[in-house]
Amino acid sequence: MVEDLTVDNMLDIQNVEDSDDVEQFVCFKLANEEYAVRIIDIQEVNRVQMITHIPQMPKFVLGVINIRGSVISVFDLRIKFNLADVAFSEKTKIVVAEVGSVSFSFIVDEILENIKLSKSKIDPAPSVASNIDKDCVVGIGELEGRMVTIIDLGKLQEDVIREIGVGNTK
Amino acid sequence: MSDSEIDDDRSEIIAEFLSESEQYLQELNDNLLKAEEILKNDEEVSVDMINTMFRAAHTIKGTASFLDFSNISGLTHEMETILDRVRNSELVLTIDIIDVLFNAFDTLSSLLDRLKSDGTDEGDTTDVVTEIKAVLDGTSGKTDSAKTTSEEAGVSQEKITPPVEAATEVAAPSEDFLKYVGAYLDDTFQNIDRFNEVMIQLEENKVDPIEAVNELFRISHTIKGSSGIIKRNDIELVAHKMEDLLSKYREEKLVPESDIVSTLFIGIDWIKNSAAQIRETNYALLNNTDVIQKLQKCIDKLKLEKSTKSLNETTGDSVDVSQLFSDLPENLTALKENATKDGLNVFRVSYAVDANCVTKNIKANVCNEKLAMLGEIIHCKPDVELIDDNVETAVYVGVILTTSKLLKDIDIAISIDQIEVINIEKEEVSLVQEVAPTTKTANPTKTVKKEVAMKEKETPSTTKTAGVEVTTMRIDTRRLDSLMNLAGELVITRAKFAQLVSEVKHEVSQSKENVTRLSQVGGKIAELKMALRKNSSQSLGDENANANRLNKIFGLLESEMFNLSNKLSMKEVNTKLYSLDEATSALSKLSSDIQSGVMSTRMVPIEGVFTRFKRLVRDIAKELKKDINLEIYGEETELDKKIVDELGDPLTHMIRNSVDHGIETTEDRALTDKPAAGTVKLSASYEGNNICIQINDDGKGLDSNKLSEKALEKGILTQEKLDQMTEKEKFQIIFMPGFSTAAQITGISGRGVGMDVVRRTIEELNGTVEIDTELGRGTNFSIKIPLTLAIIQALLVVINNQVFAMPLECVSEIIKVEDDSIFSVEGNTTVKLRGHALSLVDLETILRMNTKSNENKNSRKIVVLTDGDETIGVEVDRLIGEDEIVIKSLPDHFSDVQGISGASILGDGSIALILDATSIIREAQQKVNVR
Repeated sequence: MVEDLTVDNMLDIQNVEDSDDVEQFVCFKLANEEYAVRIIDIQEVNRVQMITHIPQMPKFVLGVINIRGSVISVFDLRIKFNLADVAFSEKTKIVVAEVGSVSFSFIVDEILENIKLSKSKIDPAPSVASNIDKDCVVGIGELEGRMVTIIDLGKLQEDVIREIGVGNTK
Repeated sequence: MSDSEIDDDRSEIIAEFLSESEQYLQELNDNLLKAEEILKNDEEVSVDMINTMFRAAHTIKGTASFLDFSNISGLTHEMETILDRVRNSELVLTIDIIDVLFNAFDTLSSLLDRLKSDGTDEGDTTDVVTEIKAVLDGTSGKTDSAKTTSEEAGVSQEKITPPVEAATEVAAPSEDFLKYVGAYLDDTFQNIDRFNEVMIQLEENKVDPIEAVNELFRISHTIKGSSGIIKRNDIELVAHKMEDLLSKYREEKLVPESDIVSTLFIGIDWIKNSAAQIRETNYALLNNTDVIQKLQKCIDKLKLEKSTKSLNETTGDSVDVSQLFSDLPENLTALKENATKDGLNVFRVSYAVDANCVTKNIKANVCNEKLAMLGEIIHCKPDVELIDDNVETAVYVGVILTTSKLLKDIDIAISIDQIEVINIEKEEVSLVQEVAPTTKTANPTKTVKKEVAMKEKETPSTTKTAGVEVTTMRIDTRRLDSLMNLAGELVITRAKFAQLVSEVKHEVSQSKENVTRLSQVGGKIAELKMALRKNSSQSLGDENANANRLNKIFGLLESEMFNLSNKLSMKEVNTKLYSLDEATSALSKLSSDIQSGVMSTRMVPIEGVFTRFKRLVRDIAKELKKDINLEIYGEETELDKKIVDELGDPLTHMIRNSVDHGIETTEDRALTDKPAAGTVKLSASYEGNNICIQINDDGKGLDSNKLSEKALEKGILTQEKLDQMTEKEKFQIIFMPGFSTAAQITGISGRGVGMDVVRRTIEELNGTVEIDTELGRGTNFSIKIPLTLAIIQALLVVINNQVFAMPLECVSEIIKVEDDSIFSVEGNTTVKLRGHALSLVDLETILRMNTKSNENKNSRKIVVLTDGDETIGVEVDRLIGEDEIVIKSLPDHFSDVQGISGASILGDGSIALILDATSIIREAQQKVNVR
């Protein structure tokens, strides 16, 4: 039985003064690098469970999982972003996101803390600094000396659709 | 497709049409842009692109013409013509032509925008159409299709509906309007459908005309009444006129002539359009002057005829009942209002005292006495005291009664010998000022009568319907959908329970083994004890003491062992497990009951869709001047509402095809031994878990040679491929994109792009279409669709360590094949099955899975899949068994995956993919063809 870890009770949200340009992010590790996504796009975080493979898909599409009766796609961003492969461990989690009306999930190597960043603290992505597709990156945030790449899940979803090529055969 | 919840009707089709068109516009736009780019680079635009654009234009045209949006259909027809010429290499695509197409595209977008905003496709298309014609005329005068085009455009210009203008001043939507509009639309559309149906029956002399007129009258009346409630006086007025017209025929017991029928059709169409408008925009108004004038003309004409007639027969038996209630005293209105305020009903009762009665005065007085017992007579004409016994004709009496009693009470009260009740009607006394617009010709007494709701007038029919009345309530389909999902979850949970129970059973049986082992150990200890006792009897002293101690220990061990084995045998657990097992099977039964119960709430008769076609066939037959009977069977067959909704369009297309292409012209039919009138049969029936819909025509049938020729000509197929095809396969050509057999292009069924869409839609519903045809005798299309989309019986198998579900519908058998009976025929693995070669495919290749199992087996398990026509063997590693599974759709990311139609969640929470037999067979055939 998979235990659901909802964002609310998993992450202890520090109380930073609320202001308009402050946004909350969930930080996670992918192949030893730190990434973050907007917390409002995240539905829940689950332990790794049985993934059903779907044929005819690019490698980064691992397949589908069952999230309480819904069939949700699972992506491996390490493959998508050409990052190093990390073996699944106890810390490996599946993050379920909902952007627009589309739900999907992706594997992360480890869930880190929940952070708040003001927009001014986010620098635009340098052109060559990152391995990952620039389109999906909002910018680079700095947190206690660590660099965190912030990913736009909406863009990621569009990128995925493009790469899968949905609708091309129609 | 949108998840529209409303009844299937025009406005829903319009909504669907709009959302569909958006998609096609996008396609058109993208492809036009791409084409322009390609042309600029001096490269050639691919046929595929042209096909895509052609299909987009054609699909919009088809639906628009069905919906009578002549501007849109006219324009898209022109676009389609250009693209068709380009496709057939009759026209070279230039940047100029692309420009023209862009212009047309822009105009089309604005027409569709207009349609979205106010439900009409008003707009000027002449410029663009002229432009396109210039292109067409300038390049090819060879074909006569340009001529056809302009002719058609001419026709369609005439068909343009009058501009929208508010005919009557109506205030903004009132509260009542918003409150009742949903129910109003539902009822009205139903009534409209019924009206159309009765009209057609009437036209075909299939019903008792008097009954039919009665019913039509009632329907108009109901529409009038409910339109009044939502304060749509414009619709009310049209319905009112129709009612008026019908009431003439009703009173005279006459059959409406054909021109009257057409006028009534115009009327009901107008109402339908208006209702559709309301649904679209909530409060749009259509111009009703035209319709009203037409209806009024008929009424006037009739009146004239009648008045001349009534002049001829002064003392006829027919008496205008309204005469009895003319010249009412002024104070009567106040009396009525007071009565209404007191909660009493006001009735107009008219009766006649038989002409043969010798005591007319007394009879009338008795009758009034009876009425007075029910309430108060506030008016009576003539005064019954003054009735002369010696009058030789019948005496007519009109009474206005205020009473708390109901109509039927009155009816009973005055059922007296020699008294003939002419009419009892309830008068709706409105306390508010009447705002209904009056017409110039209506006379005052008539108007008063029209205010009267006649719902209760038809006493016999009221009681009749009351007997079979089904209590219903409206439920938002979203609620049903969520119930359906919950029922699905229940099925999954039940499966989980069943699995857990079997797991626990397994555990228990293992512990039983332990008990046996334990008792074996106990036996050994007992043996030891015995041996010890034997020994101790021969020993002395210390040894004996030791032996005694050992003996004691053994005794303890023994009893401990006994206790333990008792505990381990888990008698308690066993009985509990037994109850659990029972409970689980009870749960199974409950869950399947709930499931079928919920499912049944979603079931609606297919009648709603079928009824539409009567009108459709009538209209097309008239347009094409063909004589066609539509026979409908099994319209009571029920299936999931969602499927019924989705089926509307493909069926419309197929029926249009049958009528247009299938049935020959009357002249051609005269040359055969067939009856002059063609017959199209539409039937629905159950076949196991499927519904089977057949569309049958006695027309000319499909000619496989003609089909082949055409396919060659159009470049859809090569001669080589055609040679390999069987007769039956050749008929399938009509489902290929870009195919048509009609030499003459008509606005009705177009150029055959539709049939591939038809097949796709049906396949999306997990259904199949089959063709059965005989040249010269007719064609039969049969569509098979699973009754419900949500839950199916499936065979679960393991292939390459992954669980797949195969719909049981598609599994014809499971066979075991020894390795040495597998042959290779032209590179294809085949096996002999009862004398026939069955080709084997491995799913890994078909689905293009990355991994491949390399288990070495001597014998293989083969599941034989069928799509109705073809069969194919799929090798599986392991069979799990049959189960009921809930179909879940895959995320959109996977909408293009071939061979898989969905997913299902199994008892252990894992996901199994559902295999799509049709697409697997198709893929396999393609693979074979490639080799």
